[in-house]
Amino acid sequence: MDYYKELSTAVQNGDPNKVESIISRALKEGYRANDLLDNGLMSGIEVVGEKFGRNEMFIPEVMMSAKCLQCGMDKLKPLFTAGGRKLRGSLVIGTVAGDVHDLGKNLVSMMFTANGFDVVDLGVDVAPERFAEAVEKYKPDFLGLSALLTTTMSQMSKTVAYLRDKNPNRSYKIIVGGAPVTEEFAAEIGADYYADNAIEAVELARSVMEGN
Amino acid sequence: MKNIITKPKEQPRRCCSIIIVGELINASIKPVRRAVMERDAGYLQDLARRQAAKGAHYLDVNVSTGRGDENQEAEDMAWAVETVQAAVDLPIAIDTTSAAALQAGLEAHRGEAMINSVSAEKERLEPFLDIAAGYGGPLAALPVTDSGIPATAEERLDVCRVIVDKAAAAGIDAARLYFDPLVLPLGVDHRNPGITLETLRGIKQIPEVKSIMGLSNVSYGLPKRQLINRAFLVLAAREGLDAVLLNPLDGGMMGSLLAAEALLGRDEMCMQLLRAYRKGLLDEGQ
Repeated sequence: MDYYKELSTAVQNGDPNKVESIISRALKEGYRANDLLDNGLMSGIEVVGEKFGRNEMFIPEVMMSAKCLQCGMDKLKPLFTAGGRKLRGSLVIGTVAGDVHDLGKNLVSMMFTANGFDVVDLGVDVAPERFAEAVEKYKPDFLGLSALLTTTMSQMSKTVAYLRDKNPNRSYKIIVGGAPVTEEFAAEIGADYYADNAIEAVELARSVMEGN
Repeated sequence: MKNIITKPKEQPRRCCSIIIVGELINASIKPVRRAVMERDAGYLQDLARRQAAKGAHYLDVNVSTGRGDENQEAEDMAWAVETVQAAVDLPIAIDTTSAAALQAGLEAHRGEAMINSVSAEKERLEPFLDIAAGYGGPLAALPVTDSGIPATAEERLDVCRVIVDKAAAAGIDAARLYFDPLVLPLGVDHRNPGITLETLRGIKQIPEVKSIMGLSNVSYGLPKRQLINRAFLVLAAREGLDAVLLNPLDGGMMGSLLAAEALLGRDEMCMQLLRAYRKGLLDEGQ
């Protein structure tokens, strides 16, 4: 039985129970946690990402697949720390001040976790000061800013300006997104990247990390 | 295509009993944002005329571009309202979260505008009610508080009742209030549309107030969005929805609405359905 392929398929089909039972069996037979993650869970979510990008899979299915990843990660995580697995990178994320929409941000958060990033989610209505404290504390590779309202896009720009004042030589990259946000706007306010959706954001972050 | 709003002196005959607010002049749509920023009057007027021709009763105007400050949005709103009303003889739904832009839009408006929208958020509730008290016309209201969208129908209805009381205190008649039961995506949680419809039923129980809904959020993240939007509109019509924001250029949407009204017994001898058919309002596509 090819556990990797089975695991990948279970992630694509959005079947968290199956993911758990396959991992249990595979671990008993001596498979390594790292390999199950890379060759099973990750390969599954990669297919999901590609299909989402081609409009062959849709948000509810992506959410179920991400849930599978999360279940799988929960089972595998204790074994990683023992083996000292390095995470792919880290992300601090939040919805900017004055905006309480969390859907897009949660999707991004889920996709990053699912792709092996360490994610700190600050929630919604996050003031620039809180973003500054969090990047100071967690030293992430990326900071994600979300805004759903055209009226809170100005908060996004304030936040980026505040972070620049705090630390002109910041080492983390700022990714912005949300329905009204455009690539042009991201450049205008001095963010490093713009992502159109959760899958694009995670692909972007992965390619940046691989370039490092 | 014949424009149904050709005689300016005559009150336009409604094509159905649910009030249709055309949603297309919204700066979160990128070409509209560009048109607002570059003062491209022709672009907005074309959108306005096309929606009017398809039977919209109000045209929503949202000019929030994210650039500049409140004064910028106020200036943009006054320009857009005048520009649109120069092209069509329809009232506008002034769609903004800024009190300054609301004021500017109402001042520029001819006739009775719809205000879209007040909410129970601290910065919005009283300033908007104060402004609305000085004008007539419908007032869309969202049961949203500073902590966001309440999860359950019961909590949303509690917020609606708070807004009714505050409006009364500001001298605004409950009959002017159009509550939005808040539409969240089906694709994110399959229980979302059920909560919206339950809230809508509750709104219909509050004396005098009316209801309004923006449809398109329901289908976010799913394929064949128009199909889902139309089915949801029919379900909401069944619950007695009074007004709806939609894309009037989607003939399938208008057709679903008129068919639903006829099926619900609100279209005597199917006259409005047949009239709409002859005007080509039921044709699919743009």
